[in-house]
Amino acid sequence: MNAPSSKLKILLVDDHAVVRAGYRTLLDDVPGLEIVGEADNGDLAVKMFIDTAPDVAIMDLSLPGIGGLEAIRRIVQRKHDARILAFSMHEDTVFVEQALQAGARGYITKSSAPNVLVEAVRQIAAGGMYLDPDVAQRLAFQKTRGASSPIAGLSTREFEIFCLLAEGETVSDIARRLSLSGKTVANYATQIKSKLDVSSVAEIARLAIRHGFVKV
Amino acid sequence: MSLLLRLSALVVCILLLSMAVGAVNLVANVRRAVSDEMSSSLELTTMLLQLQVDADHGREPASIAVWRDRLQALRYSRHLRLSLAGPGHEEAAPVPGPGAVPGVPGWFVRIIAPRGPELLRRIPLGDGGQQVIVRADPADEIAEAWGETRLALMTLAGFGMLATALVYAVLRRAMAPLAALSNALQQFEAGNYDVRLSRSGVPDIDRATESFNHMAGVLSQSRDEMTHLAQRSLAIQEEERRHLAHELHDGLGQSISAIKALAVSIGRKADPRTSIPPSAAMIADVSSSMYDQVRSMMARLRPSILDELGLVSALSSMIDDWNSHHEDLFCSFEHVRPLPDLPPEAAINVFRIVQEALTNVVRHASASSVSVRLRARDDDGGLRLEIEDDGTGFDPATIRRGLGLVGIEERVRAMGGSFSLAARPGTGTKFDIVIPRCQALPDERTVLETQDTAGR
Repeated sequence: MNAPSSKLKILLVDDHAVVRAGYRTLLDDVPGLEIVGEADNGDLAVKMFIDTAPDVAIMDLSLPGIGGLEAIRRIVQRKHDARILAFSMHEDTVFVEQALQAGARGYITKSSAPNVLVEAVRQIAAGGMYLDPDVAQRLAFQKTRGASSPIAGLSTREFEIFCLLAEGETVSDIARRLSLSGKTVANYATQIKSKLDVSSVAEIARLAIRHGFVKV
Repeated sequence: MSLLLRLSALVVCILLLSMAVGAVNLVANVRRAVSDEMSSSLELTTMLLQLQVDADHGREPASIAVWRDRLQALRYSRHLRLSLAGPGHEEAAPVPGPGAVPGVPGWFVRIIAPRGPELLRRIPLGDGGQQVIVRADPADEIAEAWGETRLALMTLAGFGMLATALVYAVLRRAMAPLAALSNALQQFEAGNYDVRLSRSGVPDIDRATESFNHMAGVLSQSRDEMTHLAQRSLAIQEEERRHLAHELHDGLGQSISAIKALAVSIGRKADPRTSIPPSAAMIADVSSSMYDQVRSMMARLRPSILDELGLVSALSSMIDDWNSHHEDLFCSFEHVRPLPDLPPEAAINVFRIVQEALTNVVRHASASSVSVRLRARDDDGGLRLEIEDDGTGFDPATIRRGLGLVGIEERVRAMGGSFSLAARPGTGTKFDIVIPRCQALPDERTVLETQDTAGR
């Protein structure tokens, strides 16, 4: 990179001092990382990104002023190779999509941040992408559903169970995997069959293969 | 029986009674007239014949043959039958008895025919024992009387029918405002407070109409005020919730996130032989669960997905979440697309209604399944929401309405919708909610903006 030291330079953007302090403490301990600046609003974040040229910016999406998404857009407009990791309390995929569209290279939620932050920063600094595993799964589920297929009428949870059923998992496997009761999963299975107008798991599997949700 | 019918019947009764009295009177008069006519004819003829007999006196008495001729000349006299009688012969003309007048009903003859001793006079013709017998025959008179009476009775009946029809028509017209009033009251009962009555021109009824219209005005105004109040209080509640969610996000959530970061950091830095790393891990875990709680509180307070992805996504996500928290209960969610676009206030109301109904199911219904159905109404582009469970149900008449139910009703009212609750003990509960095509209510901000633009 263009930094004189081999340390990764990090810009920390969050409007809450307590959060910045917490993450600074967390990141300071990690060898090879260095926090070169902090910002508490979107405008300052853009300015500091230009001034400090960090390897990675960790950017909260809810910021006073122009907001995190707009700040990401402006930074990427000026520096096309800017590496920004969005982190937010929002777990809805729509925020993930918007952050990625704005030009962020990764998205993590604040609930998983302490455990995955370092890895996320390193991957993005190395030119990669990083998505929170939970979020990534949900995003994938939502993205792969065509709007016109009968599968579009399934809720996120139904779609998850649909895919797992199609892959041949049993109800109790799915229940364990999704931390649901067996009864709930069985009810979902019935509802999925009725929504898709099929009567067996075999037909579910065929449908999933035809729409390309499951590889044969 | 309706008031109209009762009044008409009363009038008809009075009419019939007076007509009956009139008829009896008429018949009595006719009867007296017949009787008088009979006796006067009889007396007159008797007197004339007697004069003839007296004139003959002193002269050669007229022979029987002459008398026969004389009587023959009088044979067409009405009401009378003349005959000669003498020793050994009687030329009595047959007199038809009462009850046998051709063309007249027997009952009329029986009523009218003069009673008592037969109207009969004998006029002796000299000393030969010859006599003229004059008998009254009421048949002609009765027939004539029948003709007149029948006409009179028919006229009376015709008049009666006409009067009845007239009375009915007048009463009906007079009471039309009453029918309108009763119809309006029924509409009131069904919740349509916009109905108004028009003036009828009858002062008494117009006073009632005015009072009704005034009452209707007051009621619809207070209903509008209530709706407005409900809308206001719901808007305030939602605003408060949004504010709280924001505070949770900004304050508590961020601090917990920071604590977790610090705990993780402490755990990494600490000497692994001490008890610090496990304690720090514990702090991190507790922070995680606190964070999840805050998030679920935020979602309950203000589901951000509703604003971002719309009602159906918000509902399916909320119901998915609900299903994963209730092992023995399952909620199915069906929606038929396309659904009408709802303004944000309406969307949050529908969302809250479902939320509230599901809370009620958990609290009271002991159900094993719930279904939520959402679809567009074909007729007016509104929305229909049905929520049905298979639980114990309840008797809406006896149970005091809990806050949940009141809240649902309030939200439906705020949207100008209608709400029906079918619940019976043992058969579960079914909400059927109809939300009319919603117009986004202009809030104070847009009103101000409009004024601002207009002022420029």
